Amino acid sequence: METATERQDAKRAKTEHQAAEGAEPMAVDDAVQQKDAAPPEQQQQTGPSMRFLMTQYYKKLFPVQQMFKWLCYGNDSSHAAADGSFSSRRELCFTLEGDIFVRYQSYKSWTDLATDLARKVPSKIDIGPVYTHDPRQRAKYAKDFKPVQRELVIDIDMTDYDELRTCGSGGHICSRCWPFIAVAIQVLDTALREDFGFQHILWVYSGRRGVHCWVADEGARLLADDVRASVVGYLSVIRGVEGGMAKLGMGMVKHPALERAERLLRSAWRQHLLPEQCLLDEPQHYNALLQYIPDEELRSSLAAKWAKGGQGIVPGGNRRASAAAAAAGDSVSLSVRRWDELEKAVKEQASRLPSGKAAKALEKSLDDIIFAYSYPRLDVEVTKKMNHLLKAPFCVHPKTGKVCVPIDPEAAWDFDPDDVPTVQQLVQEINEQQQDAGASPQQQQQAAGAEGWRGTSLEPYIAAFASSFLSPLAASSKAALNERAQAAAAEQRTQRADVSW
Amino acid sequence: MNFINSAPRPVVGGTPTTQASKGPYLELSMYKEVPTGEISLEEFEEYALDRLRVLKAIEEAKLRSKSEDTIQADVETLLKKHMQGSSRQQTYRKDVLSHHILRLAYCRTADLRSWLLAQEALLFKFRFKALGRQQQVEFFSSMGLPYHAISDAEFEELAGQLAAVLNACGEWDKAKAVTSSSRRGDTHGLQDIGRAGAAAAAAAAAVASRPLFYKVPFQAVPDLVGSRRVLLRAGQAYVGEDQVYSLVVGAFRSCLSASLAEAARAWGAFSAAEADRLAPLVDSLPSRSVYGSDNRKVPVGEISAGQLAGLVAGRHFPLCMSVMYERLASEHHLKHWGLQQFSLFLKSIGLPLEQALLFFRQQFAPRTPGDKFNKEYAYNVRYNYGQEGKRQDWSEWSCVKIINQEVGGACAGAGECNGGCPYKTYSAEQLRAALSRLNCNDKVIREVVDKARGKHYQLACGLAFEGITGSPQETGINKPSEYYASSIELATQRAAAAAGANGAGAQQGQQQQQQGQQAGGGAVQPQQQEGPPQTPAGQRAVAAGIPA
Repeated sequence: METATERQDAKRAKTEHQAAEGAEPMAVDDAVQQKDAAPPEQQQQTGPSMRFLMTQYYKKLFPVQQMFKWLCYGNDSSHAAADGSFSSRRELCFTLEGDIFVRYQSYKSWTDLATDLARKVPSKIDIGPVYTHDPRQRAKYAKDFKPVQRELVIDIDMTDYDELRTCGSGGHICSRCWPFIAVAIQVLDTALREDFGFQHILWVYSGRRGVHCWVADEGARLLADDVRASVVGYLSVIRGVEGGMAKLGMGMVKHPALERAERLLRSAWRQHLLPEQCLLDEPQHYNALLQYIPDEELRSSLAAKWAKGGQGIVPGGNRRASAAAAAAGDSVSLSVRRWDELEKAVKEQASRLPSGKAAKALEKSLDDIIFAYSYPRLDVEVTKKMNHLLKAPFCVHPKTGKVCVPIDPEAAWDFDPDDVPTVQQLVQEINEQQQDAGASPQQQQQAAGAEGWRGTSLEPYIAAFASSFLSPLAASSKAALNERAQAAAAEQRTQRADVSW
Repeated sequence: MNFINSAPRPVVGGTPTTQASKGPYLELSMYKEVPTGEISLEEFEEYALDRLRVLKAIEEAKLRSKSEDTIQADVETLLKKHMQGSSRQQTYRKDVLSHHILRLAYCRTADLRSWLLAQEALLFKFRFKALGRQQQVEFFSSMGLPYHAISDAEFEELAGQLAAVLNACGEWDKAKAVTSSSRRGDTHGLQDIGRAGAAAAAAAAAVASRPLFYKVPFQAVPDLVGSRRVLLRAGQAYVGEDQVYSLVVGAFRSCLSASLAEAARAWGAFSAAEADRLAPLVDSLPSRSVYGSDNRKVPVGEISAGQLAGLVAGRHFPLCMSVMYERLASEHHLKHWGLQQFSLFLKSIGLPLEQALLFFRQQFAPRTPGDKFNKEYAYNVRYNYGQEGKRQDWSEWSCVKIINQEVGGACAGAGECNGGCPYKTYSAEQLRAALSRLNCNDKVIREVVDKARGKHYQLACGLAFEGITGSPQETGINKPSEYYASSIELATQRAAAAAGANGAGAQQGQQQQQQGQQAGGGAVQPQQQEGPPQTPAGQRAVAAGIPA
């Protein structure tokens, strides 16, 4: 009976949710996925059922304690200023089998959450805001029920690069298109830290074709929606794509933040993007790029020259060759050579122009290309609203089985989406541990129950999450609580003084 | 009459801004004090409506993406036209009173509150920007905001980057001023402009020496951050002295937001105490039309069922009604609420009852035999004309009612069967298709779709009018018949003009010719028909205007 109502509620909630958020990214995700059903999925169907794997995952692998600790920000402690209701005001949303959304779930303790996860086995968990009241009782508070805080989140989706990347599209992601993501992480992480002064920033691979960023500083969590929108505005340069060309919101002179971005983009451009994406190898790709050059003559002369040079090369064949050459470092890849030609031609042409203004505009087109191709493309709607749901870290992506794992922004270039552990692999690792007669009793115990992730390929990710995100965060949460306690004590003293008067 | 004295007053100590009385905007107020004194009911209503005229005009200018400078000039004109009293004090009184009346009228729902907040903040911004530099600094200082101008040392350190931001914004002169004063390296001890009084005077003196920058948390100036018009470092935004409007407006917004919330709480008591007098008046303000009623009358005189097709072909119906007409013509059916919406509209544009019955019976006939029609539908039509039930003379549905009409899930795809506003119910795709069938200008279609997506359905409709007729609809559309009336009026004028030119209208736009031809009984021979194919009915009903 209860389940039936819950499900109905869930269905209604889903409609509400989608109406409220516009195109819910993951829902779109699913629709796309169904169309171009990728072979890996079918492979998954042949092994143990997803349901079985997910049950094992939640029982033994999902770092529920660490996740809960994060989302409490010290309010789960016995600290005098801790807010005991904090965790039960945070919305979690489960997606159950059959795409049923169960919104407005909340938990008092990590054990409650662990129990419910084992029972419901959601295929996906989304994290929502902290509300004024327990979201389970939202009906009771009606108008007074509203979101009060939520991490600042950023979503980058590889599909936004579809018209640029030469290795695939849609749900595809590989080490060759990763440079787009890696440079985006670099640019945004620097801006969030240096310009906005945020410190507690978590980057995660979404498990399929994108990355998410969670900014957990208290200041970031409390940002009003209009300020979130302004952060998006500050971080965005590409204002849309028209006729295959990105419209750029930047003038002849760049804001210091964009100058800094340009330095990062330029080095990534020659080192990674050009050689790995082979952006200038084939006519369809270099013609698209040449569109940004305002000088018709220059465009056609380069295209003609490259067309000649490219003849006789098997399409696709040269791509591998040039990437390999770049990797070996012994020769310069075709795309990089062509870029240097382009840059030289543009500069020469600019120096011939009589007007300084026209010359500058021509030279700027090189910057435009680099920004259009490599400046981060954000899914802006996700960031703008406090109450937008976003998939939780350490979830398993329902389509790929990959775990949503943290990325070290300093080492973003070394991250390979294909190396990310999948639920299938992890469950197998646990089974092997258990079967391994030589395993110590301690290891066996771990594999059987809580913290079963120790010793699996998930461990380094959880360890990194704890050491570089959770512990600094815990320290500053504690400092904030101390401050609050002191303020409260001072308040009390003044009140007492008033009374004694 | 203590509101006269409640001029902008420093919140935290300092001197009252007597200075302000020299300028043209002494009246700029944070509206912190509730005015007391007496006011007549007529004044009460007039003040509120006048202020609404200003606010709505600003909203519309903004939505039409007019430039800041244009709106700035518009605001000046609007204030002169609607808000100026016989004396400075009268002007101030009207400003303060009308603000507080609207605060009360718009406090009751979140939508109303956020509308008033947005418009009042805009008005405040433009008025603040119209102040002189000196007055701006004084007003800012008088607010006692906890923001500090950066020290010389910090200025020296950041001058290069501050100039870069200014250059990136195209403010070449200001950037130059920054670099040159950085090189000069002159000193003055002004660090704390936030404290009013002496600091204000010092600031005034300092203004001359080097550009001032205030260091504020980025959250305080979202508009400047979002458009990259400030330097950001470690969460602090460096706000130039000519950007302090952003801080002032921010403070104004949060102040007003709190007041509105408070007013909402107090509304219950107010409406109980004023149930017979002010409450109904205040209550009605948000839904009042702020335009005079004289220029938006539906043409008098009756029309016949036979003329309807011509009116549709002449593109005189607003989109909601023209899609309903097409739906009726193709499906020979309308659902209950669709029939209500459509038949009340036809009634309002002058279709008499017997003609309405004739029209609907004909349209329904292929699917609904005459006696079935009489049994199931005729009652509703007669009811609308006050001939059945409680015999009330029902008036047409307003846009607000139509927009809020529940068209139902199954119907939403083909929205017109149950009525509703297509700008709301249609997808962007459907909307584009429907508007291009009406031969709406392509560029305008894009704007209309944007407005519709932004939930400004009535503005979308007004824009569509412009795209279809080639002439702006100035007065706004609050009822479908107002669209119709404006369209007919325009056509009549054009017909008259065309008749005057008597065929020599070579300079007239094609659209005008079409219009003239349709409305004016073919006074001008059309050179070609580029629009939607003319139905025979359309050609028959050339006198689409007012039948004699």
